[in-house]
Amino acid sequence: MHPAPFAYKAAHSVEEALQLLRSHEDAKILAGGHSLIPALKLRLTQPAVLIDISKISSLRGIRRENGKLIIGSGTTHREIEQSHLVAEASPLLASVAPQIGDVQVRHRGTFGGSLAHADPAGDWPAAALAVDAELVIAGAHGTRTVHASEFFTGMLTTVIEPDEILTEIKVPGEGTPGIYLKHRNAASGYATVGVAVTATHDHGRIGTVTIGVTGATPVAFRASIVEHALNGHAVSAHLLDEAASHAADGLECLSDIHAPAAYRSQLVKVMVRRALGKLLHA
Amino acid sequence: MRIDGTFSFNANPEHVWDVLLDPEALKACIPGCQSMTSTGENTYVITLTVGIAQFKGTYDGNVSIQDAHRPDRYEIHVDGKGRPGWVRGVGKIKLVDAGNGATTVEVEGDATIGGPVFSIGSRFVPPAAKMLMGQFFNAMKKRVEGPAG
Repeated sequence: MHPAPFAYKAAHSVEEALQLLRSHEDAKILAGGHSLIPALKLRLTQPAVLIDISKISSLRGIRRENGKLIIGSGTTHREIEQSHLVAEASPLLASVAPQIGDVQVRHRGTFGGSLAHADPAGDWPAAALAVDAELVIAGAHGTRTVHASEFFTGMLTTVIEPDEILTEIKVPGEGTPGIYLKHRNAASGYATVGVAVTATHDHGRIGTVTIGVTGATPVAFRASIVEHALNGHAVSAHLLDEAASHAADGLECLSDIHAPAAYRSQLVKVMVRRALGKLLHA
Repeated sequence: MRIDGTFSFNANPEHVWDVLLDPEALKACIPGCQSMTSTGENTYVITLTVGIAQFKGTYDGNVSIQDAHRPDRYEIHVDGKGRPGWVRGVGKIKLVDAGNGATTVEVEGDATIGGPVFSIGSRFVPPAAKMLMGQFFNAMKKRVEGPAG
């Protein structure tokens, strides 16, 4: 299908993009386009103006500053996948990137685009929650920083206002062990369920565990019940079994022809258990 | 697609019933309702613009209230279509006296959807429907219980 007509504006700086957003009604930001373009083609969305931010060089790149990893929102999944800095500073992000879509998608799709789109089956929201990422959002009155725990407000919805742009994502860069396990939809590669886990442990005792879960519910979430049951306790297979068995407590899971709610709920428990086992060796 | 929900109101079933079926209240509380015109007893044509994030669509449809037994139960039949797709569904609504001047409203909905919104967006539709139903009953709750409630 062909999209409905729209005007195309390429921005060359964040300032220019914000200015364009303010001066056009019904404008939409275009980054990698891997969620937006299919929706445009099916005419599920028909913005009057697309503002292309993929040419803004300041939005791309990965650097470390004061112990934090700072990733520009326009950085592609592939750039994250191939970054030695990410591999060293955030094993969890390094684990997520190669599991997104296929290599063609990873070359175009962006970190910030995926977070801002907040697809219930997106991979990055789980990881952003697990590392408690800080998301920097630029608007008319400067920038504001929002923690991942407050960023996602519902299915496909975040705190980003229509006249704002996500510019940078800051994540802890201490190299905390982390892993992303994903049950892929066979056709689309989307996460039927994905669990992003970080864990520290020392001499058989768990330090801090963080667990982000995507795909299961309309919006990604932190499995805090499981985290609380583990933090500070001695590692044992029994403890991990017991804690993971509560990973889906109280969830209202999504249901579709690929996976009914009960199946997703079971997957959450099983995958949390597997990820914990891999990180804590039990 | 099943859409179920339970909502509680601090008012007796008769009062809840009168507000839930009041055309003015319906018009005000249906999310994205652009217009609603009566075409006969308990039948309406309606235009609404609903969706999530940028995935919004405008739908035109017919709504009828059937099998109404004040203040216990009624059915709401919906048949609508718009550019993003079409929907046909029935909601069975039961008002249960919860005592102490309170009412529990139980909704059992069954809907069929089709068109582009279904082919690409089927996984988004049930949570969206649930969210819209929640918005509708929360708006109704405010109307039933008054601003102070």
